[in-house]
Amino acid sequence: MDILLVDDELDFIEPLAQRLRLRGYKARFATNGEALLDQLAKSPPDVLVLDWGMPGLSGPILLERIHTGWPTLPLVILSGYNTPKGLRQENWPQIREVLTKPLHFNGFLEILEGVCPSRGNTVPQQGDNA
Amino acid sequence: MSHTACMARLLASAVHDMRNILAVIRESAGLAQDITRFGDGSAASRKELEISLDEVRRQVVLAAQLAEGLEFMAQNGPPRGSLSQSGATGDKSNSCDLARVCRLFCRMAARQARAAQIRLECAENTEPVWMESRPMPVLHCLLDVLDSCVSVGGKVDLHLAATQQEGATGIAVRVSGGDNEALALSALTACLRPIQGMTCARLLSTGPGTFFLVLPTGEEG
Repeated sequence: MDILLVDDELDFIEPLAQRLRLRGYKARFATNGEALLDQLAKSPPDVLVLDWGMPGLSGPILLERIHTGWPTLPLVILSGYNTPKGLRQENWPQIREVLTKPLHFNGFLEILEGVCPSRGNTVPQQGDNA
Repeated sequence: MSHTACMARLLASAVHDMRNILAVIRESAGLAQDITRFGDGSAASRKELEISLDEVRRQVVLAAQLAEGLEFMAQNGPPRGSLSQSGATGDKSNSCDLARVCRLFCRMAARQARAAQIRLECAENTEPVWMESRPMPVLHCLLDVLDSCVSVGGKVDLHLAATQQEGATGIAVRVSGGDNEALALSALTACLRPIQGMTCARLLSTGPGTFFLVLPTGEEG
């Protein structure tokens, strides 16, 4: 499974991507909206994990752009708030899940596997609670 | 904007940052655990483990600083109460250390500044700068200054320093660099009106890119 993670918090996104790679996923990341759109244009992933509240091109603007250019790309939204400002999930069928930080890693893996079950290549390990 | 609304915004900003800190701690600690489990024991693997653990330690320090800000807000925010002064004043009742208020503001408002691509910095005062005022109106004034920069699209560097100038106690505000520097300077120059937060507060231009936020003593806002 090819996962593209987008968050301006490099300290968060880098170890998360590394943990996914250690489990056999292809995980790459972008730290701003422009870099995300650039990566999407070059090679769309199987699933996009997007932070809602980035500076510059933020969630609402990016969601419109992604919906226009990649309308079937599955999205998982991350947020530092319980209720991301301005997001109405029911209006966007592309959004499979909205998650609040900090992530529960096993739950996150289950969601990713649920989004792309046919492309999963690693079963989450038992007892992986971190 | 009321003092209560100001406090709510700063708290929301701090809570967002606290969640981010927890997220980094969780992933860094998780990566350290993963390296122990999946790593090959090489020097590179050990180095990566050290980096992950250092990151956890660094984030714990940031969390402690943010917790100090949250405690400060709890003790000094509206409504007024018996605990309203204790966190800010030490042994000086009815006064606050402006240097500390500036530091805490920069931590509490970090998320709002970052969202507008504003680099918010605070001087590292070695001595307290005492002032006869409650902290909440001061925080309100600083948020008004930040809002002025946000209103022109952000993308500026904003530096705050508690100080005394010509016998007046206040906060030196410097705008330097960033894409919207000129617009932010115009917005702050327009702030030569009364600043939100204290009825008699004034932002005076003191030179190119520099201002002095004059905070009247004993002002309740």
